Amino acid sequence: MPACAKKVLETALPSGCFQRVEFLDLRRAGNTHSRRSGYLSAQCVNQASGSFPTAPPGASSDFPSRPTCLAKCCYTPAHMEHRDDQRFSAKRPSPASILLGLIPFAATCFSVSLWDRVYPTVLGLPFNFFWLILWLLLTPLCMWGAYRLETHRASQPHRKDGGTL
Amino acid sequence: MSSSVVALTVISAIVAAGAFVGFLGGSHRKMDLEQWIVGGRGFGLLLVWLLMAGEIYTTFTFLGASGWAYSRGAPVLYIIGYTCLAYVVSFYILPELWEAARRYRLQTQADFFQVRYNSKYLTAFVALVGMICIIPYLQLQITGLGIIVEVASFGVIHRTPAMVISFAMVAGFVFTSGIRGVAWVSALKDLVLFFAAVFVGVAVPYIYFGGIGPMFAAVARAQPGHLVMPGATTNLGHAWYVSTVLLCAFGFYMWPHFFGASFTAKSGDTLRRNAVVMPLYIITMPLMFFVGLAALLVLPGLANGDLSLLMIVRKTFPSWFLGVIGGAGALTAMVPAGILILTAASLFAKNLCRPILAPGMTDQQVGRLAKITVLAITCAALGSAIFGSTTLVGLLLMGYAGVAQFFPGAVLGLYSKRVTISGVFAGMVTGVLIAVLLMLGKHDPIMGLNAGFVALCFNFAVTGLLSWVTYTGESGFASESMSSPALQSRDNREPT
Repeated sequence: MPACAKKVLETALPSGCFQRVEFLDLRRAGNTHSRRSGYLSAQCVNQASGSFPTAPPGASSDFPSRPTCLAKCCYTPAHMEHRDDQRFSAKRPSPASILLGLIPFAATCFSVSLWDRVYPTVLGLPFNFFWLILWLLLTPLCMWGAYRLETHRASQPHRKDGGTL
Repeated sequence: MSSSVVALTVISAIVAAGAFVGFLGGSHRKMDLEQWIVGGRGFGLLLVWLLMAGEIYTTFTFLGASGWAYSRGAPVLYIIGYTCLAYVVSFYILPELWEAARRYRLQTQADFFQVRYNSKYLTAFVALVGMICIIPYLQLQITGLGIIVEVASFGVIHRTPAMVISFAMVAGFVFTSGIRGVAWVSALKDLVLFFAAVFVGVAVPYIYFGGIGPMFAAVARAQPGHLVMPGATTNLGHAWYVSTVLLCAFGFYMWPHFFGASFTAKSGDTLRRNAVVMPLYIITMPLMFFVGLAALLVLPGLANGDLSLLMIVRKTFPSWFLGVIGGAGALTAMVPAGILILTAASLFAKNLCRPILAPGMTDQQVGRLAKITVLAITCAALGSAIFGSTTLVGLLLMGYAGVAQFFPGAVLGLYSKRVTISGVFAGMVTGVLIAVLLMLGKHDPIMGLNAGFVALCFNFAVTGLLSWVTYTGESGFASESMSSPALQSRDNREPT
């Protein structure tokens, strides 16, 4: 059984693309994110069925109203992969990255009565000034960690509703 | 040449250079509504960074922060606290907001509420509250410009005519260049301001006290209470700090112009990386505090703390340098003012006027209407700048109390399908009403807490409770193929 079926929606389009097509993932039938639609160039009309196509590098992911084919044999997505109902739903950040984000909140906001004092002075600065300036430097560190977590998550093929990162 | 002429000449030269860059940045691009408002949605890391940072480095930073350090003392630290945390918050919400914006081709903040809640009345309410909150922010910039010209001219030019002239220029430059022009001027003024801030922040304490450490020692000797909260005030203590930091950190990206500026990014990842590095950009903010604290000992008894930075520069440095600082300050007022005007105008034209008052307008007509609104809004802010008398920080906090009320609707709505229109609408109205009543009744801070924060808590409670009661099934975003007619573009251009 082929992994995916091709449905031709329109043929002989202007602008060098030959067919407007839709691919259905047969293995995940009934799943809400099992369709992709796009354009195929004339050279690869017969080759692209059987597996889910991928867009050539540099292909625009935005909806081109009249697509141009980038390579000789190519598939250009008409839209992003999308869910059947085409509703946007936001991807929630992971608990671990939220936890990293709470560190600066705890350090610079909730703990104010612990660090709001003049002494001991550090580098000539009253302690409260020093503490907050220090956290201007430490916050990017925490968020860099959160960034690594989020992008690691994003590098896995998870974005089922068709969004980018 | 007298010192006032030198200073004013230098200021004019810097402002003229800024305006020139703005016109250049905006030219040779076809200006449709999308290009004018969101720059065609194609700004990379650098330009978005400049645009967003450009709005942080405003007159508020420059004169307001030093002014509060002068007149209030340690409570000014809330500025570092909240800007830092605002970026943390943005890390979690902006990339997804951007994604929604791209999918639905959103241009303004109110558009987001339209696709999420599908109610033109909620959308119009968001647009209206956003516009009203922008006016004090704009007033802050106008007042700043007035202060700069007044001090630089040694009192020869009064504040009112100065404000009128500078704002005619801002409005003109917004008309012609749209957001792209504004972003490039932002680059120029950040450069000037950065060096000016570092130089003044280091040099002033060094000249008068022999360094930053000795300066703090002197302040601690002369005014021991000034360096810890509540500083020179009686009611800005730790509870106020926590509530204000939370209010502002949540409210920060609810400003219609910040919300909208995030749409100009090239990708959600751009915004995420931006959020990581941005706290480094405000590292010059403490230097402004240092200047304010130095002025406290060098120039005691100023009637208006917001004058402290410019007065101490005028006292310490030659007049051409006062001109450089004044010019940088003028640009930091003009760029955000430009962005604010642009945002308010598009909110009015697109989300308030077209759906409610005059359906059936084309994009071209809306674009024209937006430009007329530019003038009206500028005049409103100018009017309140001439007659108003609050500190710069006070003005900003007033605006924050308003815009933060969008937070429950925007963020809970973004991530949860269980939030309903009735909950959000009722919560937002409650929040705005409480904020307005407390502020007008002079109950800010109330029981040691920031009034806007109290309003936000009520807002969250009402939104949550009513959403829970009225929830009948998933109420997510609009379907992409059937996005609301209010948002569809109505021009008849051929697809290109």
